[in-house]
Parts: sequence; C-alpha cells; structure tokens
Amino acid sequence: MSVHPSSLHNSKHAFTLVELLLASSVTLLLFVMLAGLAGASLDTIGKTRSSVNHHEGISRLLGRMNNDFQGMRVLKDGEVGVFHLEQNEEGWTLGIVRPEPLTPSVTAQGYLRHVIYHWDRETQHLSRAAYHSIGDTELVKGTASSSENLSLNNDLTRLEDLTPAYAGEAPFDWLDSPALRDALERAEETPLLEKVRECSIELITGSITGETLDQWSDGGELPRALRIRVTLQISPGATPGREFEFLFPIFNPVSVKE
Amino acid sequence: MPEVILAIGIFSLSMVTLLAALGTGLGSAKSVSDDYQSQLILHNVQSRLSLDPSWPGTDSAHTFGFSSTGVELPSEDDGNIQVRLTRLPANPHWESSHLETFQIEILDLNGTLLESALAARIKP
Repeated sequence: MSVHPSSLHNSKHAFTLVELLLASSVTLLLFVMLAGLAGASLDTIGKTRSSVNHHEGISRLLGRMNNDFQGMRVLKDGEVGVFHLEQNEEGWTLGIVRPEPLTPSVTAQGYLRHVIYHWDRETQHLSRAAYHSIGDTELVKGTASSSENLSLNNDLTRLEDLTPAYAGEAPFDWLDSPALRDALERAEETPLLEKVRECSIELITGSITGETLDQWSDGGELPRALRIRVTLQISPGATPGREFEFLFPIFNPVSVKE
Repeated sequence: MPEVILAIGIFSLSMVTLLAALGTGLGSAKSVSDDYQSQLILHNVQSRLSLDPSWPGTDSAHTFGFSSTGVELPSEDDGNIQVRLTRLPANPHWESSHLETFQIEILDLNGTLLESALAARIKP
C-alpha cells in the first residue's frame, strides 16, 4: 500500500484556507484596534507638543518683558523711563528707554537702553529689538570723555538729564532712528513668537477693572500695568487659535531720593 | 495553529510596547506643559494681587477657575485649572505685620497640586 505524496504534504506542512483566513482576520482586527489607539496617542502628543511650544514662547516673552521693564520701576528722584505704545490695524509698536544699569554711579559711560517690541499682523511675528546707545548724544559724549573723573561718575543727576533728552520736545524720534530700525529688521528674522494671529495690549492706569488705553506717548509717566492677549495659531487654517492672556505690572515708579 | 497564535502574540506585544512608549512620551510632555501653565497662571495671580488691593476679597479662602492659557474665568468650575488663594493669619511677632500674605495653590481638575507659592503685599 502506498501513500500519495501530495496528501502527506498537505497534512503536515501547510495551513488550511480556514486557518489562514482566521489568522488574517484576527491580525486585521488587532491592527485596527491598535492603530486607533496609536493614532489617538500621536494626536494627543502633537497637541501637547504644540501647547508646550506655545507656552515656551509665552514664557520667553514674559521673561524678556520682566527684564526690560524692571528698570522702569525704580528710578531716582521720581524720574521714570520713557514708555511709548502705538497701535493700528497693521499691528503695534511698544518702545521703552531706560538707563542701564540702575545705579549710575557704577557706570562711567551712561548707557541708554532702547527696547522695541513689535507685532506685525501681516507676518504674524512678535519681535523684540534692543539697542544700547552710547555716546550718540552730545551730552553722553561730554560725560563719557570724562569717565575717569570719579566725582562725575558719582554725579547722580547725569542720567537724569539724559532720559528727558530723549523724551523732550520730539519725544519718540528715536523709534525711527536708523540704528533702532536696523536692529528691529534683524530681530524680525528671529522673532520671539511666530504665528501670532492676534495680539492686543491694554494699558491700565487706574483700577484694574476700569477703563484701559491702547496708546501711550507720555514720556513723564508710566502706566500701572499692561494686559496682553496673544492668539497663537494652532495649525494652518484652524480657528480659533490658542488665546493667552497675561498681566504685566509696571507700577508707578518708586522714587528713590538721595 | 500554534504558529498563528505565536505570530498574533508577538504582534500584540510589539504594539503594546509601542503604545507604552507613546504613553511615556505623552506623560513627560504633559508634565512640561503643566509646568508652563502653572507658571503663567502663578504670574497672573501674583500680578493681580499686587495691582488690585480689593482682590480676592475679605474672606480667608477663595477659589478661582482659570484656563490653561492664563485667562481668569467667571466661575471656579470653569476651565481646567483651579487656583486656591488662602489668606494666612498675621503673625503678631513679625515686624512687618502691615503686610498680608497669601498662599497660592494651583491645581488641575483632579485636584493634583501643580504649583504652590506664597505672595505678600502691603495691606490696603
């Protein structure tokens, strides 16, 4: 009696059609279930990453502003830094001038630090440019040339005289100065925040719940605080964006009398 | 049939491993995100305390609802972050008793404490 070779092969080394179909179905079912889970996880990771990126940007902005505004708060003899804000449909520009460092007796040079924050609606960039002016006014040149003179270094009226020179009759000409415009142009290439769909600044002068201003050009006073609302784009075409809000105290300056 | 079971087992195991890796990544990203959110909210609460002497009111404890993006919401049940402000009792032995101090606690919806800080201001 002989055994047919093909029947031996079928019974020992191959899967039946039913087995193959069953395996494929189970695999497919598992794949669909796990792909769904993986897809949901990847989606959540993407959203979380976007949220972290946005918070990182806002945190960077807060840190920068905190550093820039610090010097506006306490100045000697009631003198304050210069603060300027203009807003229109194209965006806004916020400019400040402050002496740096705060204790003029340790500087022989008389730095003035000019900082501009600028939001451009078209490019959706929020940029910051800083410019240290040194020796660009006759007054600074005059004092800087005598920097070895200790009595002059200790003359605390020196910087008091400088700031009003910038906030005088043509208070905010410096915003258009070529050096600052150049600095801003460079800053716009590496903005602090990108994809800023909307950004508004409200200036608080009295009660925090009271009326607010959207322009400021008084070189002799500071607003109490800024309220900034920033809407960042989550993904192209997605509306609404992620809206952040933060309150930034500037305070009425504390006068330090010598 | 045993080969089929083995293949399904290996496939499931690799998928579970993949999901576990995704979960770990998600957990660490969420932790960073929570940290940034609580810092932003803490900044806003501290700013509000310093700017508004009538806030949060005269009660010893207040709870506020915040969005994760720093916006204060009308009710404590709104948003996904809660801020608990507790006015600390004045210390009679402390020379600066003209200050009022607050404990700020930032919690998520599950009541997990994300951040805790103290703030002081001159009494109105």
